[in-house]
Amino acid sequence: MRRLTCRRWAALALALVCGLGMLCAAAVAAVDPFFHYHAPDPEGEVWFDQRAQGAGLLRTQEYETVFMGSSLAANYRAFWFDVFYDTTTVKVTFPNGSFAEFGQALDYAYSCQDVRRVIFGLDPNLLARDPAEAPSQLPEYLYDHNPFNDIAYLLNKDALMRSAYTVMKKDAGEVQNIQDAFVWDGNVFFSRELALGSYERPETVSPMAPADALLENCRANLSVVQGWLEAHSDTEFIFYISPYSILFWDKMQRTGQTEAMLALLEETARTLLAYDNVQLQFFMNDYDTITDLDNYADHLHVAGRVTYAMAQSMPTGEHCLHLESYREVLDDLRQFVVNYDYERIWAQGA
Amino acid sequence: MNLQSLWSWVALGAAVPLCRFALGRGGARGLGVLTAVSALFYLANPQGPLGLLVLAAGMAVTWGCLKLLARGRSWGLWAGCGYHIAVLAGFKYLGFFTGGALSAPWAPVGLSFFTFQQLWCLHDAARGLCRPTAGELGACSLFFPTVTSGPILRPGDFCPQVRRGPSPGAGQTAPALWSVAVGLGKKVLLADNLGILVDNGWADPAALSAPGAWLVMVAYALQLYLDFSGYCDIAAGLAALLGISLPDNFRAPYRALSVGEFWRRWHITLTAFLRECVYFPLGGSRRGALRTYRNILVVFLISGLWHGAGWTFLIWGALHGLAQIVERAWGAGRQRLPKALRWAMTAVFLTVAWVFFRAPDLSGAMAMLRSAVAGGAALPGEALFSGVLDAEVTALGALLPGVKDAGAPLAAAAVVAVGAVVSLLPGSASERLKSFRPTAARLFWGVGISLWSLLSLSAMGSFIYSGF
Repeated sequence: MRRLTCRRWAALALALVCGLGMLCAAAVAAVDPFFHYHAPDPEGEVWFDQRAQGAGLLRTQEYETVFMGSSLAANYRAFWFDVFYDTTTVKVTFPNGSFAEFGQALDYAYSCQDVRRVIFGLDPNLLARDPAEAPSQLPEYLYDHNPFNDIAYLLNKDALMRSAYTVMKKDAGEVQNIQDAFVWDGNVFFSRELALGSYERPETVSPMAPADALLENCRANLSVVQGWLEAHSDTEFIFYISPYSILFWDKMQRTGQTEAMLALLEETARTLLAYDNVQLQFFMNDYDTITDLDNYADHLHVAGRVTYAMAQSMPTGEHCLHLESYREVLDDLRQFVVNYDYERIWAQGA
Repeated sequence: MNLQSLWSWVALGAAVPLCRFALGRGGARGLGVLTAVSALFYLANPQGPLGLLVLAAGMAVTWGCLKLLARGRSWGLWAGCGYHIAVLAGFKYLGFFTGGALSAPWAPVGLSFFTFQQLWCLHDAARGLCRPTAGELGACSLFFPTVTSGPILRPGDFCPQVRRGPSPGAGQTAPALWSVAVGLGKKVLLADNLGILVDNGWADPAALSAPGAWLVMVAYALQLYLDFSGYCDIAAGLAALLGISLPDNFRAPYRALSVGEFWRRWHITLTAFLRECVYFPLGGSRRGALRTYRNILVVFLISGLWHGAGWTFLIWGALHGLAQIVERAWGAGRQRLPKALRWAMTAVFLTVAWVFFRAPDLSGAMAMLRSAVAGGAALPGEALFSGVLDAEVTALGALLPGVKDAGAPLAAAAVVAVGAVVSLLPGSASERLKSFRPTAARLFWGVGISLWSLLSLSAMGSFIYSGF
């Protein structure tokens, strides 16, 4: 072997870093685990990262409806909306997502397709969160059309490892079709025992939090949503509020936040219903559903049979709130959750 | 210099040969190219254009004051120092000194380094040690490897090198590349992952057990060294590619047997600046013990304030000043203690003092120290390790499901252990450059570390000292 001089060492080092770097980039481009260069195979793909692969879905699919939300929205299948609304739908969900992230993804969707309708799972817990504490985890280099940003995808440790993971899973035949992507029915089970088992009942707090305790955060988050409504006034926005279980209201009661949460819902309805291009579908008052804990995996996440029924009912508008009547609906909910005999939940299990 | 994007490395790949060629031809044109390239790199920083304007104004003032000094007007020194200190205070300390009533919304990146460099230039010029040309002043002030995070360049050392037209030999490229690889590994693979553990711990210091608190404190001590010395290694490597030799900023500081020795090994250029521009003018150690103690305290209070406008930084500086006063007062008796004991005393002091450096406020610092003393003996929870080498742990979990749960604690233990070993290695960046031997093992590690680091850049955090 020839002696390694400084000159030869430097040349070899540069050549190897460049060569191996290009090899890594080529491997990522070929496998393309985040669907940046090719559309996913609808019959079988490896799904593992909603934020990274969401960009690929928005970029490569053809759609006029965007279905979007947090983990509560993940348990829907896009083709339900294709059927119920006679449309083409892409589903993009970000667990614990922030409104800034959803806004960025929406902007990207508008830059990719002619979006006519947005169906958005509006999660009151996320509305109540301080925007400063919300995550910002979208891989930005995937959510734009700048080809120079692709370098951050191609020369990326995560993407490289995910490429290897994708190849391994495909070799093992462990793939899912696109409709099952990120759906947790099948991986997660729903029963009264599981819902109660994962619920830590808080100690009772007094006094109650003031009714405006959550309003500042709610208004800050809603202002982001209002930006979407004003920027895309031709788009039909269908917001829906998922049926949190009665355990959620038990938590609100015991932590003294019932009035604050109801005020948040009222603020949300008042703000959004002022827009002509908005529908607000409200499932929190589906009392049969929320009191039947067999529908839940925990105090929030609801089974596929319920999400299917909700999706089916959306086009009928039967759960829509209206400017004239939303206060009555919320008053009715207040009466229900304030007067509910929460001890019954545990007595039933005894 | 912003090294957080792959494109900045691509730009470096173009800029280094260009500057190398231009500087090699010597003259004002070479300096002009170096200054222009440096300015372009600076523009890539947040608020880069505005920051560059502030720095350009500062250089113009320094240049004017140098002219005054050349004409024998000694007040040029005070005018220049006054201007630079006022600009630094306006951008970084207004909020602190006015109790938050007034504060600048932003500050030019690297302003603290820039200011001390300008002051050093004026100081040396007033003593006839250095008379840079305008081109040399611009190149030195904006030199892209050092402008944001140091080392603080002494114009008297830097200018003669660019004046004679550096011509790096082919043999210098390999050690320079090795230095860049070492720096990248320290920063991206070690410091950033230690930072995740540290951030997890500081999210709720009161909830930590004593072992958890000590782990977080030690991890921060390692993170800070690996982050800053990693940057300096990269800067030294890039400068060496241009044929320019930078001053050492670190010489294995955690091997120090006393706090005084620590400061001869840690941020050496800052220590040298403070010694020559503050300590000596105050009288140094020549006017009795009490004056010496006062001077030490003044120097370290300034050092604390330089690092940040807050009480925590002042306390950190005061602790270091007091520790050195105690060491001096103790005298030869301390030297007779076993080396291991002196090392342990120094290491514990440094680790505790860094708590004030990292804490968001005094109550946070006290919460961490309370946990370290009275947090109970429980082992650290898994949440403390969450996110450390995340991609690697995820991949390992997918390949070997049996180690999935142990992956994060194992990764954290590995990062702390490797970080500690690297931090205790003897030598400095310049010694590493001089003693480099082109072996196959170094080629393997250099290429491996560089590639792994470059592939990890998308998750890279900013350099801690670029915030100062």
